[in-house]
Amino acid sequence: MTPDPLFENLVELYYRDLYRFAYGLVRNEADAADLTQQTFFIWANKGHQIRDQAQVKSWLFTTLHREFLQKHRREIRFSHQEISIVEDELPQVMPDTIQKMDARMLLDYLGRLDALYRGPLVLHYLQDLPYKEIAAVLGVPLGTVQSRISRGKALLYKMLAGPGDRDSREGSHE
Amino acid sequence: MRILASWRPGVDDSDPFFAEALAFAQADPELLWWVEEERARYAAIRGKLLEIEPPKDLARTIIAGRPIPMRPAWSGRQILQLAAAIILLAGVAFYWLRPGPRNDIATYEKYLTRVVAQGYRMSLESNDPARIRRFLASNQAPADYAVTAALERATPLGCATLSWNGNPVTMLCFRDRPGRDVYLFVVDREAIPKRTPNPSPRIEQFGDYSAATWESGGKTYVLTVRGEPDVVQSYL
Repeated sequence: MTPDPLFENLVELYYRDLYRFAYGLVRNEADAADLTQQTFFIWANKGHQIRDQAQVKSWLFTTLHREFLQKHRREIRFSHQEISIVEDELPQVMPDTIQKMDARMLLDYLGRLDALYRGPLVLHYLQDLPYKEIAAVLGVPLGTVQSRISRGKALLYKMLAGPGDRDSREGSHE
Repeated sequence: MRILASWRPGVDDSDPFFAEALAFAQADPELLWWVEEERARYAAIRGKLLEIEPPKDLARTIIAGRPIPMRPAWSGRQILQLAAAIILLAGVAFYWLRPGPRNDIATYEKYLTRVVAQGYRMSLESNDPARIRRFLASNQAPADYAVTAALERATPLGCATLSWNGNPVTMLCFRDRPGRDVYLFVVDREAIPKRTPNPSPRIEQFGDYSAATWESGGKTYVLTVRGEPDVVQSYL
């Protein structure tokens, strides 16, 4: 196959961040790698349609999220649109508690959140995109993104502050 | 506090939506304490997320799996039409196929401009020109380059190493002023066989970017910056 320096540069540039986003969504290595690979596969077939090169990154994240939604439609369809109890204030969790935690354990907690909250929260922490683009990636209004981050973070902090029953899922009906 | 729950420290500080809440927190010791704790919590969680590394061979697998456009299923009539077209265009096709179309200076310039426009990952971030040269030399990338006088006055930000048809390309990044980044690419002259010797800079515009190309000391230089040709001219 003829090498394509542009494609290779694009992969090198974004595959780590896309993989982390995918991992935050699907919570396992194999599925995250599949989603990342599928995203670049779609780019190779359709990427030439993008006229504004500055939109490439946002396009890749949007495509990955769309692929995730298609593959996990059942999970999303039966998830709660709203959680019944929303904290007025974020629960207290000490930064040291998080620092001492293993990265995969943190993702395990994150993975117990409803898929509605996982995507916004992971993008919030990865800092790859401005909020307007996060809203476009997730296909929801900006206010909804911020409210999901706020609620998702409240649930995450609650779990981190007191793990309790690790088999229970927060804000999720998966 | 609800507003600041979606605040990204260091990223959203100047966003008016968050700036107002942050300013409000300055006057409330309890809230200020929470803001500082939240900053630490955010950094800790982000740090953990960035610890997640993809499988080592993922990039190679993606690149190897790049799809080749499918050959369409032709009907008999279409095959005949195609054959006739091939005969009529054979002479032109022969002319087109002789030179390696992907290895000319124009394709190279377009490639570099797209690298800048799409984004890039620095191999080394440093303001020290000597350190940048040492890094490039140790990575078998062109390091014996000459920087223009105007770029000497700009602040070096670092460098990246790229590849063009198997030849190492040096990418130097400079910041001249806030929001104005300038990129200088250096490759051995022989890496682009189809070119016209060009000691004087030739300027071309590619969309929002302009590029100046010249040769010197066995190297081909391409200087790229966002803006009209007069912007790139000011760095020569």
